[in-house]
Amino acid sequence: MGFLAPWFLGGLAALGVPVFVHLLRRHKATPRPVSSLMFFERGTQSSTRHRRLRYLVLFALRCALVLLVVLAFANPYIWKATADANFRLLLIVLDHSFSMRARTRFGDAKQKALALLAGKPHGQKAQIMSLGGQLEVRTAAITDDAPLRAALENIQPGDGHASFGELGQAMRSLAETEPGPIELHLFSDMQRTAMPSNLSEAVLPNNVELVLHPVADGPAPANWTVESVEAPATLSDPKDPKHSRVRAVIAGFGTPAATKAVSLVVNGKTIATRKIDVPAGGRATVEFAPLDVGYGFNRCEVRVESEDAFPADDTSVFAVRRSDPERVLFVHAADDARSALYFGSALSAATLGSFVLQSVAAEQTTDLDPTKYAFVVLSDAVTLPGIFEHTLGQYLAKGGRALIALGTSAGHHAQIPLWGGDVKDTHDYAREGGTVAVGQVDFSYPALDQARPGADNGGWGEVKVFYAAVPEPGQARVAARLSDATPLLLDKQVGEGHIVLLASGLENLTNDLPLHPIFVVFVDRMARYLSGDERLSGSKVVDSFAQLRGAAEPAGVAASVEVIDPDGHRPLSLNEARTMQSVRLERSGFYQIRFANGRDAVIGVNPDRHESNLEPLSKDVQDLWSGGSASSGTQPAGSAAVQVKARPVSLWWYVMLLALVVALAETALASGYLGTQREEA
Amino acid sequence: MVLLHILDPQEIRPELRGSALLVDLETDRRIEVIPEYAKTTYRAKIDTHIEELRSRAQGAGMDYQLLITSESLDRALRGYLSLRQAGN
Repeated sequence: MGFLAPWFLGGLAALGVPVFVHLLRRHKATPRPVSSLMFFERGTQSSTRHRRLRYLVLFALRCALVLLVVLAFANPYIWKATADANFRLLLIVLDHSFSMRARTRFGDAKQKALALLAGKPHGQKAQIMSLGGQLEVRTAAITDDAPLRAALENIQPGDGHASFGELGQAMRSLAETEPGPIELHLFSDMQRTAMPSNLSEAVLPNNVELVLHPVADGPAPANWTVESVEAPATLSDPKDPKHSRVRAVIAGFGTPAATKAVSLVVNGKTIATRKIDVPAGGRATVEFAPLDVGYGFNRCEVRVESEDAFPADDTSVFAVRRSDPERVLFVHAADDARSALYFGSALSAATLGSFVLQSVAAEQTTDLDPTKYAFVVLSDAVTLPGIFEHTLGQYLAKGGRALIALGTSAGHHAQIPLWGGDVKDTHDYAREGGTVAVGQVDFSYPALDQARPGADNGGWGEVKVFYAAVPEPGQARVAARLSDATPLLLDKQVGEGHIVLLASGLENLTNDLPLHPIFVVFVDRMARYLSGDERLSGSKVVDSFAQLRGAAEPAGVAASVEVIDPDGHRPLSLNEARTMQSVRLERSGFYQIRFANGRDAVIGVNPDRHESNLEPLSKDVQDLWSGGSASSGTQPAGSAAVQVKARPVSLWWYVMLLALVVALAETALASGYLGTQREEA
Repeated sequence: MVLLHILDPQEIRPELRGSALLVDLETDRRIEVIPEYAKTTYRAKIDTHIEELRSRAQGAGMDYQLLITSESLDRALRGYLSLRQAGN
C-alpha cells in the first residue's frame, strides 16, 4: 500500500481539533451537596457511563472523519495482483505490406495472429489493425471473438509500403484516447526499410507494450528487382532519339553477381530483351531504344527474368501515350510579333515536336474553339472578342488551362480577361532608371519545378525585368516574385481549369527572359503543366494520389470522373466520383481515369521499391524497439493472456465513501447530544 | 392531624447543567448524575414518593400538605386552611 499524494498526510495534524474539543476541554463535574441520594440509586451510574460512551463515540467519529478525509486527499492505493489480460487491450497489428507477399510470410503471420486471438480470454478487449501503406483500423476494441476473427481473416496482402514510424505515431495518438495498458502484437517480416531512419519516430508510449512476432527468420533471401524505370509519359515521335527510349535500373538485394535477362513488354508483347551483368548486391542499368509504340495508351513493363524469393517485384509498369503533336493557341496583340517567335522557338526546342504553335492575333479569334488546343496563351492580349472570351471561359471551367502574359497593353487596359481581377498598377522600371531581378521562386510549383536549383536562383537570377503589371492576386498562388516583392507568376483556379498569369511579357521588351536558357526550361515545364500531359500517363508509386479535379471547385457543379483500378473495379462511389479531388492509388498495376473534361488517362502504379529489400531489422534494433529482449519475438502466442502483474488500485473512492458514512453518523450523534444540551439550557 | 411535607424546589425539580457530582450531606456518599436522569427518572421517583406519602397519610386519617420552601410560610398555611375549611 502507498499514497499517491503523501504530502497531504500533513493534514493529520487536524486530529488535534477533536482531541482539544473532547479531551482537553472536557467538563469537570464539581461536587454539589444534596439532602439525600435516596432517589439517585440504581440507574444513575449506567446513565453516566452511557453518556460517556456516547461522548467517546462522538470523539472517535470525529477523529475518524478527519483521518479519512486526510487519507482521501493522500490518495491511498494498493498493489493488486491481477490477471493482466483482463484489463489490457490486446491490439493485433498484421503487416500486409508488399514484402509480405514473399514466400509464405503473410500466411504464416495471419495464422500466428489467429492463434493468439484464439488464446485470448473471453472477457478481454481486443482490436485488429492492419499495417500496409497506411495503418487501418479493422475493428473497434471489443470482446466478441467472432468479428475479431472475421476481421483478421479478411485482411489480404497489399501493395503498400509499411512504416513503423506511422505505427508509432498511431499508437501515440491511440494512447491519448486509451489511457489503459495496451499490449501490441505486431506480426510482420520486420523489414529494415520499414523502420524510419530516426528511431524516435517509432517510439511507443509508456502504456503500450510491444510484442514482436517476426515471420522471416534467418538471413534475407536474395532478390532482384526493377528498381526504377525512366520512360516518356507522352511520345509524339518514336524515332526521336532523345525521348524515345526506356532506361531501367536493375537492383539486387543480398544477391551474388549474376547475368540477368531484362525484357521490355508493350501491351503484353515482349519487344526487346537485353542481358546485363548485375554486380553482387549492386545495380545495373539497361536501355531500350527506340520505343516503338502505337497511337493511344500503351501499357508497358520492364521485366527482369529471375528466379528469386520474391517474384512479385520483378516487373515495373508504366504507361506511354503516343499522340500526334498537339496544337497550342497563341493569341497576341496585333502589333506584337516577337512573343510568338520567342515562345514558339522555345516550345519547339523544349518539347521536340510534341506541340505545334498556332499564332493568332486577338482580333481574329472570334471563330476559334479553344477545346481543340492543348492549352491557350494570351500574350499581351487584354482585349478579346466577346465571343472568344466567353468560349474561353467555358473552356477553363471544364478543366482547360491558359497562360496570360501581361505586356505593355496592361497599362492601358485595366481589366485582365478571365482573371477576375484588374491591373492595380504598373511598374516601368526602365523609365525609372533601372531594372529588377527575379527574387523569390517557388520551385515546388509544377511549371517552375526544379529538384536542385543552382546558386543563381535556378537560372532565374540573371533575368532582368523592365516592365511589370501589378495584378490583383485574389486567391491566386504566387509562384514567383520580383526582388521588390511584386508578384511575377501567379496561378489561379477557375472552375476546374487554371490560369497562369505572368505579370510581364513574353517578348524581350518588358524583360530579357526569352534571351536566357531558363526560358526554354520554363516553356517546357509550363507546356507540360498546362497541357496536363503528365497527368495522363506515366507511372506512380502505390499509395500516391492522382489529382482528379481542382480544390476550389464549387460542390455539385462538376461532372463525374471515372476511375477503374487494376482489378477492373471502380473504387469510387457515384457521390465520390462527383466530389473527390484526388484518389489514392492503392494497388499495383494500371489505373484508368476519365477526367471530368472527358480526357482519359492510364497510369502505371508500382509498389515502393523499399519493399524489395527483404533484409529484416537486426535483433538488437528489435530488442531496442520493443523495450527489451523479454518481449521480443520469442513469446508464444497467447502468452499475454496469462501474464499476471500487480497494478496500483486507488482507494480514494472507497475512503471518501467511508468518510461520508462517518460524517452522517457523526451528524446524527452530535445532533442528539446538542439537542439534549439545548433542552437543558 | 396533618402531615406537613417540606421539600426544596431543587429536590422536586433538580436543575443540572451538565453532569454533576452529587454529595449526600448526611452520608457523604457521591454519585455522578447526568441531566437526562434528573429530568426523567428522578422526577418520576420523587413524584411517586410524594403520592405515596399523600396516600398513606390520608389512609391514616391525616391530612397531607406539601410545603415548598420557595413559598412563604403564611401563604402555604393559608392555602392549607382554605382547603380544610372547604373540606368541612
